[in-house]
Amino acid sequence: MKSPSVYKIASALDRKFKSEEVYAHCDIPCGIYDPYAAQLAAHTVIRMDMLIEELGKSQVMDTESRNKMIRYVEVKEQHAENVKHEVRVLWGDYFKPEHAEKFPELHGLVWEIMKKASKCKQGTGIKESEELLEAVKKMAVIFWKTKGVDTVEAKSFYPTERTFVYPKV
Amino acid sequence: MTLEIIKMYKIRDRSMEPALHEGDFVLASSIPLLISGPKKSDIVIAIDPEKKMKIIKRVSSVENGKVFLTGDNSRLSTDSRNFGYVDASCVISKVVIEIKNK
Repeated sequence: MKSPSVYKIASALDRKFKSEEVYAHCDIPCGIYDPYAAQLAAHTVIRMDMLIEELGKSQVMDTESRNKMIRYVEVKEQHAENVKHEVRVLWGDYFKPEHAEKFPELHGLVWEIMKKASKCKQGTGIKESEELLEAVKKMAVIFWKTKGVDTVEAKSFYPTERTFVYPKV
Repeated sequence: MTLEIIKMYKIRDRSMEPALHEGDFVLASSIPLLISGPKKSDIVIAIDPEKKMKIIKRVSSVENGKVFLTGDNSRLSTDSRNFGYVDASCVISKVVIEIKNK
């Protein structure tokens, strides 16, 4: 019914009696997911640990150095949190029950990443941040496998000099 | 089950475009469902099996007491493609009149 007057009557009734709303809803399944961001964040955590270690060796801790140190720690903290966020999005929004069936290690891996990212916040050890990156890369491999895409592990061109899992295109 | 002789609903969101836009109204009734059950291509009011809220979707197939509900605007719709077939008893009423703004 496309009569403006009928719509006006319906609107008037709605104003007076407040008709119930019914949802033609959408959770925006945008379908845009990529394990790239989680890996990028994990690389940043490693890089911050490297810088922290380097600065820690310095004999002088003047204001300038302290400022640097605080900035490194802050970025490390933020990016460890970014890893957790990105992985949670993939886990909660992208992965489906059939993926978890096919890759039974998935839930354990997510849990491991959460724990490892927190570990990286607590400490400054490069070993911990490397382990975080390794776990995130495992998840990236699973992600691409669920799409039937092969992966390749290649050197990143970041100062971390660690690797990255890319889709083989 | 909920019985609605006739009830007016206001549309929220966009998953039923182009048939129904946000802000349009519909009149829905349970009576056609009592007579012949939900039929393919009916626009119906149903209970979302996961979120328990009332949704409006189109019946795209009916099988053994279960219905597959989809939004006309498939790119912007969360429906049976996400939550699967729903029990026909989740379908409350059928849209009998659409009242559109434009």
